[in-house]
Amino acid sequence: MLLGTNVTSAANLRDGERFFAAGLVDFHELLIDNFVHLDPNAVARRLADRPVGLHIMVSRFLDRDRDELARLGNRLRRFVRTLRPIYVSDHLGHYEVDGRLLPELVEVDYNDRSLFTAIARWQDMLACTLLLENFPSGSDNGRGQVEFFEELTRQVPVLPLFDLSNAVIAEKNGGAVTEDWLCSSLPLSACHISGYRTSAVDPDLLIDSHDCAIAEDSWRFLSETLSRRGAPDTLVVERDVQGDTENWAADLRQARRLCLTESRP
Amino acid sequence: MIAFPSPRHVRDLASGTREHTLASLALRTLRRDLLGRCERLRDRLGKDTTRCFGEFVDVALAAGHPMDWTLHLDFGVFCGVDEPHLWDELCVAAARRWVRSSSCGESWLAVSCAASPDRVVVGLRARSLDDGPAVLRGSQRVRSHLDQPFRYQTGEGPFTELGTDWRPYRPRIPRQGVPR
Repeated sequence: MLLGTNVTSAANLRDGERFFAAGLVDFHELLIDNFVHLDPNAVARRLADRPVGLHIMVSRFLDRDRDELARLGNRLRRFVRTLRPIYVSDHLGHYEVDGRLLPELVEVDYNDRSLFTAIARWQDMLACTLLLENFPSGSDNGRGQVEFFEELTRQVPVLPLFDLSNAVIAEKNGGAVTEDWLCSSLPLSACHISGYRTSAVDPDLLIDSHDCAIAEDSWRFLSETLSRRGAPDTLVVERDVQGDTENWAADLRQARRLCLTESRP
Repeated sequence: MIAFPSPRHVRDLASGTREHTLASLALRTLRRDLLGRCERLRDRLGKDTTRCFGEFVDVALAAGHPMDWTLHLDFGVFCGVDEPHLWDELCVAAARRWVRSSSCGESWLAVSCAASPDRVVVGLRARSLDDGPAVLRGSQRVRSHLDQPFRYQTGEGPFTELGTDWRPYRPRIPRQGVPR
């Protein structure tokens, strides 16, 4: 099992490198949107031989027209060829509606099976296996998420990027229950985990904030996942705020400890 | 069905429902994007920016605004901003929003407005893994007065100097004016 941290900027690359030097992590997950305009060879030289995953945030692959997406796909393929990442992952959601940029990523309609075509097209453009992250549903509109992923992975050769805390958030917000993920036939071999908090608008709504320590129920769900599914191939502990290095390191130690002690053989 | 969370629509939703909460949260995110770093503009607008923001977003949606980085420029026009220091703040916020939402090959955006034509704001995406995104303020020599309220240019590769291929940006939203 490889443990990693997310790299969204120079600041948390420095954190990630300190963790790597201290033996706390084994790889970096680059939020590639922030670096896709750079020369991939320069990025590869900077990272030396350290393993990387590529995580895409704003490809908008469900919303962009084909030509625009093809241009982004070309750029990303250069990074894939050069960096040879452990995985390439993206987000399943809408960033735009009627040509307008939405304030936040919006969950898809899981009854809309025409999404499979757009997902297959994007994977073809990337020319590699695509992992898609499960959504931290904000309402019961997310109830069909597990069934969607199961049918999707039967019809299109993509894989889930299983965000454990997103699954916990979704369940508490009325979406898919965490048990359904564990009972599903989905491989849960590439994982994320991070902190969440209650929203400022409604204390009953949880939001995926990445700005605090991992919650107890996320740790419990990781333990349950490890005991029933075994250790994942990769686990990224995400944190998007600066200056929280010690707490981040504590979460990394806890994640490593659980993976070593709680995993089904 | 997915829809942009219009303030008018949110007002019609029953308070306490999850739909109302999610739409309200999305609008809070947009308001933070629009005004979060514009302290001097917030001072100018007064204590309650909610109403002004809501009216603006409804007008912007009706005008078919793409709600991208140019939203700050239209917000300034809508509010009747004419002070150069406020335009400087809005251009910085617009450039920051461009940096955050870009995901293709362009690596910088420069924007300038007629209210302070000798000033230019440049938003830079990361220049390397070690040199994060930044927004720079600078001055430029202007040979002729701008015939457009705003102009901008973008470029790929490292930013070294401004080019000459400025593109105009025409606001989509009419001036309404906010009492001082």
